[in-house]
Amino acid sequence: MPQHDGAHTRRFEALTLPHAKTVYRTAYYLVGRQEAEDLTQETFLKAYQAFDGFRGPDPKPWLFAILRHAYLDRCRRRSREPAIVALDFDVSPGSRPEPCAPSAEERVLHGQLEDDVQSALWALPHDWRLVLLLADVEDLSYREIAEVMQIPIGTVMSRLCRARRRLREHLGDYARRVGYAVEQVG
Amino acid sequence: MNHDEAWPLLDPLLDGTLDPERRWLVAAHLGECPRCGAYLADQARLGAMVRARLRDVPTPPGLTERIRLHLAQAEGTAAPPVSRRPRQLILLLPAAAVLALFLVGAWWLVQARDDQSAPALDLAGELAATHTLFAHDDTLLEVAGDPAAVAAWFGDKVPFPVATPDVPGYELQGGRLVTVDGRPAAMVVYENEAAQQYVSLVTFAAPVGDLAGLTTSDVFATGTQGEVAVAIWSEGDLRHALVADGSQADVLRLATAVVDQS
Repeated sequence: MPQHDGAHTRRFEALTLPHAKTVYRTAYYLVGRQEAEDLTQETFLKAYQAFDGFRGPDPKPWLFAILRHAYLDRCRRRSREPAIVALDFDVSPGSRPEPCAPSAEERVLHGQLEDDVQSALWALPHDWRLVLLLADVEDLSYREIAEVMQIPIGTVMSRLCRARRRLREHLGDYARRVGYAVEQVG
Repeated sequence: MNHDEAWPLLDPLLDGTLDPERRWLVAAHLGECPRCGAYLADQARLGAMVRARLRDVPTPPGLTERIRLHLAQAEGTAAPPVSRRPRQLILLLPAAAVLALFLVGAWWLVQARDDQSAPALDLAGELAATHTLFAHDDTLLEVAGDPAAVAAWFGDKVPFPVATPDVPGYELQGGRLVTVDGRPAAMVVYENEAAQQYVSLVTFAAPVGDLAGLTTSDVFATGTQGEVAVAIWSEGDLRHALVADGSQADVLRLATAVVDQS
């Protein structure tokens, strides 16, 4: 790794560390509580190594793109799945194994307490999960998500649409229990 | 539009996928249908609740400090090993076009900066970091193909010709645009699949004082960064750098073979 002066490091920290919580949160929903901090650390290290090439005003999408690469690298290392997201891969549940994601049993074993909403999110394929998180939790634009995921904007929109719909379906019982959406559309 | 026609369109409306004409018809219907209106209101409230719940992930205490510590430790050590690449090669041409514009823009920004405030150039370190970051993952390559095609791809992206010579024992994988000292540079990546070894050949315009701190001989300037070795040679105002994981002797042997072709 190139050696840098203190000003370089301080600039990196000032720009990126305010986003540590959001990077951790997304890592949490990709690999679970047990590995989320490790993946977050890896993301910031890779970002630091690549910081000389960063010229954009907003580091958030850039950090998410690095997080995604670190996540896919991790999946490759485990050789569970090719982990390359095709440009317009039409994911359907059960069509391929979930790379790196802990099972529900593993999540409980690691003390990951979650409610119906989080369980519903975990039930989504990881590509859908990430798109939904970036759009609805981290407030990235379609264009920013397209750059993070390296997919066309149209694919972002269709993936997001499917993810939201699937989440609503998974949350049907929960919604009815808490007094929302007592009817099913369609 | 009556209720039965509007009802199946409510989810597409929520998802933002309804075409403008039907969106207008559904919106007109909502004013006269309490059932559809209630469904949409519930879904909106449910969406807000889901968003709030998903945001509520407790961050481990001291996370930021541990990241700082991790960075400080890494600053004094070699970069961690990076996983080998999958064999499947996926090219990201749309992203490449965006990146090319971005890098050219970045170059102009760097031209305008106050050079007196810039830190001293650590060329070997920068090349090693570039190699470590990009050479091991072929999803990060922007072009692949035969040597002529790869060389031609750089034609309108860097202000100098790019060669794709043979590297003994390695096969050309592709290339990507990178920066060296903040200016556009061409990176060509080779792979020895059996040994899972990668070599980067980086061509760039010579920065001021770029060889400071390197060991120089008649032909090559050499340096190492962690487990990555670098051999640099000049061609007029251009520099070529061969970067690889391995010993300095191995890299010099490969670099010599490349220079002999020119």
